[in-house]
Amino acid sequence: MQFGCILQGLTMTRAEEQEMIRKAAAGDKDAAEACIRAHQQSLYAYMLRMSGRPDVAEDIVQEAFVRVLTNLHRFDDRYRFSTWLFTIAKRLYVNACQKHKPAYDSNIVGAWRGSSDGPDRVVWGDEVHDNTSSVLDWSLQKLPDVQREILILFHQNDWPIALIAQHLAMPQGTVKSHLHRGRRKLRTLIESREDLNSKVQETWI
Amino acid sequence: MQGDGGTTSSGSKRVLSEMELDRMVDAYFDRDLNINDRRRLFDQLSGKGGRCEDIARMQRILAQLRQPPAEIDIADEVIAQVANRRSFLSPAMRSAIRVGRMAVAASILLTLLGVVIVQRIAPDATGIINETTPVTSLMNNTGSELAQIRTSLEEVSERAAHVLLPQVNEIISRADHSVVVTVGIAQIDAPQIQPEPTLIMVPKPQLVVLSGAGDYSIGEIWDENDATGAMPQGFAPRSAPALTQRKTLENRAVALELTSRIDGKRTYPVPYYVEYFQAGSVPVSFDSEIVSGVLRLISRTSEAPKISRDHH
Repeated sequence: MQFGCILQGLTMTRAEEQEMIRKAAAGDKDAAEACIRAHQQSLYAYMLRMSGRPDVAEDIVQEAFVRVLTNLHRFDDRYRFSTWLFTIAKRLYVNACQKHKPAYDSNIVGAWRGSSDGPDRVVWGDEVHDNTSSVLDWSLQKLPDVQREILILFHQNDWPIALIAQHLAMPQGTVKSHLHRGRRKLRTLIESREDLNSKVQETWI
Repeated sequence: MQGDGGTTSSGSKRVLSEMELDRMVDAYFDRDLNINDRRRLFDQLSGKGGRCEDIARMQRILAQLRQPPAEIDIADEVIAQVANRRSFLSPAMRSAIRVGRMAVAASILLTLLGVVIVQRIAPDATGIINETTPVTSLMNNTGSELAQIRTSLEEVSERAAHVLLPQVNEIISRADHSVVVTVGIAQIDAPQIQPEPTLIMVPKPQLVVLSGAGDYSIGEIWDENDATGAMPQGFAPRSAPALTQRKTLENRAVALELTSRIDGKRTYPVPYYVEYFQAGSVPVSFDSEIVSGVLRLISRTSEAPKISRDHH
């Protein structure tokens, strides 16, 4: 493979990215494959945190790449490829939400519990199982969509504030406000959840 | 961090208010602080255990958020899907496919347009029977429907014969000035055969030479479609002597044998009913019988054809 081993995510320069896209648009399968491998993990992580559902996230990521690669000739190289890709993925996610509201799966790698498990429902077995990742994901899902998305893009995907503002079409100051509020709320939610977990553990002991 | 009152890197060592400290902590997590601002923040935090613990806790949460939740590799599946959509084709091939698709779409539209036009012009031509017909009713109706069809076809062929006959006689007269040939039309009425209700013979008017000489033999027959070409179809003149001596049939039974229409391998209804037309005359009816695969026509009435176009 020509690009896959050396170009991973944000380590790719703008010129390298444009060259790769140009080749992929001309029908170079290796370049297309490199393009996918360079962005699939970050996009999947973003979608997984957003939806809380591995199956939904994987479907959306796959469809987003298919759409992007079949429409590469429409890509405007004045923008970053990742912005375009994430925008398409987000639109797919919004459409999927409108069709069937994704039910949050607090255990990312586990089985889906189903939509009847609302965030306020206490599932004792899972509470005893102290899974910090599960608490984080649960707390993320409790955040408003825009705060969750900004937190994920900034802290997980390392997007700069300016890029997030462009992606969400909002001023940078607004992005920062959401970011600050989201962080505080996330910590509060996690603490309340962990506090509940510890109380449950004490009860069981 | 710029513009945050009293907290710039060149600022004094005054103690920041809680609100200012909150802002600075936010800026720290926003990665907006340079190295000097960070040092100032940590200086301000010294001795504030609760604050330090909050920041450390937030750092742990954000570090956890930074952890990739899972990994996937969908490159092969995506490439396969994209290849299925023919996205890895050259621009020329892509445009060719596009033109092809447009051509197919255009042809479909034209076909639909044609159907719509035909339906407008002749609504019955494209009618579709929605109801299924039971086999029994189909069998019951077949006979009467076939009879109606046959009657309609007879009427059409009769009209055609009356229109055609004078013209054919005229053509033959012009072709051979020395010999006048009279042509009549024999029409075979083929009733339905009971064992085979679907078999029907369509009456077909045929031109028959009644009198004359030269290249035209008495009893020769032309297909009405080929009348101008005067192609003999083999109406065998076996009883020709009875006709050659007279220009008319003159109240006598005339037997003509029609061999060209008889196919030994097929079943023919018996008896045939033959009507014999002549230009400007009344029809003469013939009975018929099949003897050894040969259809024999016998005049059954005493009425004589009145030939109105005797050019002698």
